[in-house]
Amino acid sequence: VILTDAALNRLHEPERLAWIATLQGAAGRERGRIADIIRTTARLFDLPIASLNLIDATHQLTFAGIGVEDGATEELSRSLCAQVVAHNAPLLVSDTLNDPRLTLHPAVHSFSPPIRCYYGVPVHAPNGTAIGTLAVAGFQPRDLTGEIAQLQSFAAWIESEWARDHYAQRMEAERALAERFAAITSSIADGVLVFDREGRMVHANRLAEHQMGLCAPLPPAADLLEVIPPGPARNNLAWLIRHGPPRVPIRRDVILRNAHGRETPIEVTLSCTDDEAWFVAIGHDVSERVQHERTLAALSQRFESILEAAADAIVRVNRKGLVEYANSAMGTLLGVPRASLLGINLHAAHHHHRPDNAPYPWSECPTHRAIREATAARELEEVYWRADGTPITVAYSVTPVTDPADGSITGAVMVMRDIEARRRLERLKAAFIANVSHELRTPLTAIKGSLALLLGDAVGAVSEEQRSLLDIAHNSSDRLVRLVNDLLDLGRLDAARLILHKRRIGLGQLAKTAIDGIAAHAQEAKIRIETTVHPEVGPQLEVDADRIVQILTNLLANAIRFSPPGSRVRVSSRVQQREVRISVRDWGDGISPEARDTIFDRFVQAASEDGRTLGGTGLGLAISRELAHAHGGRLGLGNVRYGSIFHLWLPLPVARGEP
Amino acid sequence: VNAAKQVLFVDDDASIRLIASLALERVGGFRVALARHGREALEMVAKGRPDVVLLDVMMPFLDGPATLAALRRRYSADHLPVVFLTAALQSEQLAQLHRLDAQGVLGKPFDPMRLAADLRLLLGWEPT
Repeated sequence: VILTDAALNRLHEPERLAWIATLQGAAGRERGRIADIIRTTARLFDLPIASLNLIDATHQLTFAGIGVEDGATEELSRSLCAQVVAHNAPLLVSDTLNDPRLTLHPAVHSFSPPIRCYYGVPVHAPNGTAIGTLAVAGFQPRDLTGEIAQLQSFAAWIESEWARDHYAQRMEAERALAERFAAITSSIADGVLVFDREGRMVHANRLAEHQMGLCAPLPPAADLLEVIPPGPARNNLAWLIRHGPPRVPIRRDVILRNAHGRETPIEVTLSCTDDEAWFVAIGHDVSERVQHERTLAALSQRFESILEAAADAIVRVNRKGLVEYANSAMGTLLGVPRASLLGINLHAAHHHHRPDNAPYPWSECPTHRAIREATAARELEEVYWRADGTPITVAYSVTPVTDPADGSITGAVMVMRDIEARRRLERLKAAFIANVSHELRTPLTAIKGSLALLLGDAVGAVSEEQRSLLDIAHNSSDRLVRLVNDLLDLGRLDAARLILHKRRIGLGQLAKTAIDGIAAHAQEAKIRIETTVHPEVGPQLEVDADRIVQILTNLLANAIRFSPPGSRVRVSSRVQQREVRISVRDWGDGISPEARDTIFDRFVQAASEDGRTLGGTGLGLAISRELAHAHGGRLGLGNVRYGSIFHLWLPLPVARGEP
Repeated sequence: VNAAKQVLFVDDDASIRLIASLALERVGGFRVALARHGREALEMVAKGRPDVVLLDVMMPFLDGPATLAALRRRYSADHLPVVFLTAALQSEQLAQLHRLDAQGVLGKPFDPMRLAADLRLLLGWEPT
């Protein structure tokens, strides 16, 4: 009759229902105190019915009652107390049967005889919400309007009992929670500090206090800005209090002076509770990590200083060829700042083409092979490309790097040396030799020319005695000229500057040129040169004709020099598979076994039996051998019983399908 | 009837000039004029054209190739043959000289007893 929808809705408030559930779970001792109050109320008002009824969303529940059973329930439609709670206002009825609102109300008639008087006041939970009714009722009409204040006092009494119980419980719960929290935080290895937005301590574990340099435990609600010693911890705290909670958790390393006065690196993570009421700081001691990092940094710095000091370029790449380390020399070599090399693909950036500009696939790079096959390579000659596109020739060594844990290949280390500088030096040396040789020629021309004019009687006849002396001087100057020529050749061979002017020419023609050139000399020495090499027939070669003639002339000159007058020197040839062998044989003294190993060395001369060196420079065979190598051939000494035989092998040109 | 041909020998080394003049005059039967370097040679050619210029390569003031170039501005090879006489016998350098408009290259040290004959052979002149 009275309950409106709005009022009914109020009965559904969840907070109200939660309080009802809490109070219903009250211990027996508390129920007893409430029952005492109800009993006193009934006695004071001298009425047969007094009860504390809780009103939930659907029912009325009697918490304690006189004239009503404890725990009795009624539907809301049959409850007057529900009206009191729903409206949060007293309901005072002195005679129900004379009140048109209640004459037919089921609550009135749920008793027999029907209830005639009813007085109910709301009872509130500790938070102020109405959850029940303290009601008195009787079977006689009765006006209690003047005493309603007393009923309200009893209701307040009940409320205060509830509140007392409630706070006691809550404090107990909080204490238990705090204890549990302290137990947890004290057992973890990080410092935990909880404080509110004004910087008052809420909770700190011992470790947090220690980390912050506090010797004694922090008192509850201590003002942290006052108790924490000056330093980073306090500065950060002051900053936080000034700026408010961070939007996202902050993590940073700070050096704190701990309770023992030792500076300790602490990684502090700071966040705040969801309601932003509290800050939570977790301090993690990272001394060990920092120590490790320092050791590692010192170690790598030490190694790096060694690598930096190296004049050679040193670079480490991973399996994919990406640069993991490069020293300064590497940057200098490639003409880029060292740092810009890190992470790049070295092959793609600086080794992409071969010297002849053909593409150089990574799969063919020695580094790739080293990584793939776990093989090292030493002193290879490779062309790298500088940042500006110029090529640079390097002596290049590569070593695969293995993981000590499982032996797998993790990359490779390359060491490179700019050999351009060495080349330049060699060129300089060659140029110097060329210059010296040239300068030597001028006085030699004068000496030789003067002697030749004297010997040629161009300026008058000379006596036999004078002539023999002039002969000696003339021959010696000849030797000097040869020596200078040989030095010049050697200088160019050393600098790999000898350019071969190759062309197709028959072996016979080469042999003929060499033999013709030395014929006069042979005749003078009374040596007969015989040859089985036909000038027109015989294999075609692709060589620098002058250089091959030079070799053959040298071999012939040696043969003539070491042959007794009246003997012969023979030139022969034989095609052997893909090469041709040209042999020069003499029947002289031969070469002693101990000399066999050294005659191709520079400035080594075979001596004749009487110790004379017979006018050689000691460079001829060394030069001839270098020239043979330059042609892809070789020069060697054969075995014969009498005299000696030299063989020159030259490769035959690969057939090109032409006639 | 034919007067002996005149050779202008150009070299910065006095000893070489003496030897060459003996070789060309006494052994070879040429008339010989001597110049110490290219500039002097040009002056002498201006006064009277020789039959051939025998030219050193490395000289002060005006070197062999530069002298040749100057001569060729006034005289063609037919009018004034020029032969280099050089101590540089490296093939690259020789090839360079051969590319110039000279009639030949002779090497140093030269054999003074053969110098005149070699020169005649090179220029296709009748031997004496």
